[in-house]
Amino acid sequence: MEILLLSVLGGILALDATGLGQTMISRPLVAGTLAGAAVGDPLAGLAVGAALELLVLPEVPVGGGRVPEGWLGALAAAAAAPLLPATVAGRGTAVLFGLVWALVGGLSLPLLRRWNSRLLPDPGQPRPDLALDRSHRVALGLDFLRGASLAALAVLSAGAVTVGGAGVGGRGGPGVPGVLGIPGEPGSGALTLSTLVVALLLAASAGVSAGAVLARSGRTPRAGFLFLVGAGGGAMAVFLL
Amino acid sequence: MSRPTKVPGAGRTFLRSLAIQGSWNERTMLGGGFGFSLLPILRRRFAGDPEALREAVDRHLGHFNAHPYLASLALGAVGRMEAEGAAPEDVRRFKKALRSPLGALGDRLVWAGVLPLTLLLGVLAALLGASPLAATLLFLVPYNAVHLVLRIWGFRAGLRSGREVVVDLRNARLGERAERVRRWLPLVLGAVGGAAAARLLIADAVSWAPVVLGGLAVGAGYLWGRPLLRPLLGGTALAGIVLILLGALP
Repeated sequence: MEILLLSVLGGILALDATGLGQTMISRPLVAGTLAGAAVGDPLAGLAVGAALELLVLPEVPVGGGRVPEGWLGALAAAAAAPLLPATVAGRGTAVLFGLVWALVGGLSLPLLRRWNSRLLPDPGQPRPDLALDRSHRVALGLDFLRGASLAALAVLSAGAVTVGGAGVGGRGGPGVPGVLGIPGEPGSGALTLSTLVVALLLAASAGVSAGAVLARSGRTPRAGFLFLVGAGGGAMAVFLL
Repeated sequence: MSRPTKVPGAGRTFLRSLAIQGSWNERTMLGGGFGFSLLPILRRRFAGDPEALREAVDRHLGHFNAHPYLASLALGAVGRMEAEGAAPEDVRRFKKALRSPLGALGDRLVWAGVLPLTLLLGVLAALLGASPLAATLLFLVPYNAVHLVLRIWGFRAGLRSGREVVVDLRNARLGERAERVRRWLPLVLGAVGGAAAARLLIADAVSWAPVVLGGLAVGAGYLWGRPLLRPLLGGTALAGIVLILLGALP
């Protein structure tokens, strides 16, 4: 049932990403939350969706560029997250898993666009209005099917990949409660290699992503100053709240 | 503001414009979607004259590209021109002239401005402990307010002004608005980075190393941007999947 629900959600998100509406419920932040709610853990979905959002933030659908399908990554990560411990390593692993699917989804877009090009009618047909109507609707239908199929594959692979990582005997493992699965109790555990590796990988990617967005917003001393002011404010807000 | 000229089929054209990118492809880009959206207006305009309808649809099967939200401005204007019987060559030249400004303005205002800004607000809210509903709405509501205003304003302006819509576009000063939005990006981006770093530092069993590496990576991304990000994401994903399959994660 979950797989069916997530497949339909995947089809809707695929359409929203480009073909229909573009209300941006397909952004990882929202897609992850929606998928998380579908599997009974919206907070985990929000956590992995927010993390993926930071990774793909500079990727925008400009022109014909091939971009990672963030919605698919968030959906995959949200499907995997409840099967993993609610820790930095667990959430990070789900995000890495989702990132793979986001990149796979991006590879499928050129195929869809090639089909769209073939579907569209050429000038000179007797009823081009009917042909255009039909071809555009078929293109939308194909995008929905693409999204639904990819979502189903991602969810099925989440179960297969995480079954070894999940706590033996059940969903996830013990986790220290905190914000977005990041525990708030310092010093209660030893640094594990897996935690460090996951954190390093994601920190590097998120940092480069943030730097790219910063560069695009203007390479000025003022931008750099505001960035540092914001960083101080954000950190203080976390410590104070 | 005067009411737009009543063009039969305009309402359905606007609704169809929400799917304007449905058949996006490298050859005609938004062209198929533009023609698809315009069909209700064309069918009403050329009702009873199948040959004229055929010619009208044919001239809207070609290449067109613009930001999807601002394409509604071109749709409204072309719809008005077709309804008034403008010469085909005039319509063709008008569409070609609008392509670049509607693309560039939309990219700067929306993709490089409003979208990342509102997304970062949502992510920041999540990092500060907001509920999933609150964090997502903090992004979706302001973003879609701008989104819908652009679509509706553009379409109405096009219907009202026809080929003179470039005046409306100029008066809207979208370029200046884009700059005003983007000025806030560094501040909010920094707040997200600081909050994320703080979360990691007070977390259980996370060392300083990721935070330091993240800071250095911001510098690298600032210098080299997206060309660095793509291979890095690929490498990160590959490393992650290898580690997962080897049982090293989580």
